[in-house]
Amino acid sequence: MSEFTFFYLFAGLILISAFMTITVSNPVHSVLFLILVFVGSAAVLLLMEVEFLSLMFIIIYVGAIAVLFLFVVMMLDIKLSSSNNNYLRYLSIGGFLGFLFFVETYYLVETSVFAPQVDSSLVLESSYQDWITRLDTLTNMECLGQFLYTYYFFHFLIAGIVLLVGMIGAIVLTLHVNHTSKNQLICKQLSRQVKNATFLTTIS
Amino acid sequence: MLFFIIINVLKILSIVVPLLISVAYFTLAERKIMGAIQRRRGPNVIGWAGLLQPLADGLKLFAKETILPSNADLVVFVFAPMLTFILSLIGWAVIPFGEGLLISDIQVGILYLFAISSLGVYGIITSGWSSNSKYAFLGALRSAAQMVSYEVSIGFIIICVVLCVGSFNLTEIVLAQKSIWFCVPLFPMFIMFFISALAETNRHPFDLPEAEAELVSGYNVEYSAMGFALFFLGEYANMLLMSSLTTILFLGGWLPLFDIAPFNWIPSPVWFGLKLCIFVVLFIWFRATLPRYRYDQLMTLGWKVFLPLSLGYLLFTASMLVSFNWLPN
Repeated sequence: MSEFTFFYLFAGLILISAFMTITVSNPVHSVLFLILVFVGSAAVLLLMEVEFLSLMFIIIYVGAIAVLFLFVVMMLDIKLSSSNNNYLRYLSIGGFLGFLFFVETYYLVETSVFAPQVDSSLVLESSYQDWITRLDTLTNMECLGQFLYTYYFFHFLIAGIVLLVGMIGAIVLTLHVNHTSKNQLICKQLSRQVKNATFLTTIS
Repeated sequence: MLFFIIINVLKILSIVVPLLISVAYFTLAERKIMGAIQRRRGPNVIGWAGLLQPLADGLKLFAKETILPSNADLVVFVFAPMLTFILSLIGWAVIPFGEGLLISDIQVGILYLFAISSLGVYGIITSGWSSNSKYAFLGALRSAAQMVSYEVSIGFIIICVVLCVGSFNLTEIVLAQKSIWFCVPLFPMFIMFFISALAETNRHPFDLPEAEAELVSGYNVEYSAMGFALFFLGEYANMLLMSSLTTILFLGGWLPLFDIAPFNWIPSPVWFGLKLCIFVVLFIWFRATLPRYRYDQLMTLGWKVFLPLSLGYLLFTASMLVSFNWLPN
């Protein structure tokens, strides 16, 4: 019972903060609500007992990506313009896409997640023990590792290559080698001794 | 149900109250040890040898007036110190003080601690932004950049230790060090972890966020009274948390120095506390002796020295474990 209470609490939090993200006028507040959405999703994952994924969600999305996002938004010149945009302008296309997304998700959830309904009065032993999982349990992470590196190692490698390409792209786009700026070479400074510190130069 | 709640509240209080007292005496120890290093007496008026000084400081901060800047973003401004304080307390839920002496023994304990410490940036960055002051904002930006960059090398070092243990559980990490503490085989990692912990908690010589000469006091300039006190308590509780994490990862947690008669009579929480004190004194010692880093040097150290070195040592550890067939499980 308490599990469902917490689920509705966090699901409500996610919905409310997602709505606030797109409606508040201050961009920084909007990012803060987005972070609240991430935290809420991590909490829902925790309720589903996938604690590894939930903590990874917090470490990666909240701890790294959203911080940088917040960083950029804070540096922007914020103009609190009272936007009188007509929200209903995008209703037709947005509603259509939302409907499609809802149907797909519903279909997925309906077919794969929920077990087929069984009338509980027909089952004699209602609470049976699954002794195999009782005796030989794998933790969350071990399960994930076994599956990921046994069956899906190819996808794992592909994901790594995609990330590498993304990283190299970002470096290439932002790296400007400036030959005129002075930089400090600590090894050069530390290797300075009496012998090489004084030397003669010819002044033309 | 009610019994369950009462028991849990008592458990939490039994961690939080001693923690706050130790934070208070950490500040006193800091002033006394720094006084000794600089050949002064330190606080010695209130109580016997100045032992009641932290309580007097707390009372002073409590009695002060809370000032809210008129242009501040009030909700975020009030929320930021609370967040810092809460995050510095909830990390202690998984710290084992002895075998089985902890609130929750979760399988992913070290990931939980890592997640909590990565959330710590938010208290600082939101306080700096919501103060609507240039000093606070610059301090917050510096602090956030610093914490994010040193977290990367901390992550690699933790993975290095976890590879040797084969579990994310803190109790198992300590028990794996029964034959040898990890500070011996992973000595470079141990040094780098402690330096990264200094940078992560914004302590000297990496205290750029509150460089007094340039930024007055960094992200918390606009805070007074209890808001400031919460930041202060959070910062010192975080230092204790990082010290205890270093103890658990590298100095064998609650394990005695040698497992023979006079050493294993001493109860395990005492060993844990003694090891924690080593790092507390190191934190203070570094503050009194080392000059502050320049900001570009700080970033160079984080990204160009620690990151490649920890990544390289991770590969080295993994290949050693694989080639000598030492991998756990």
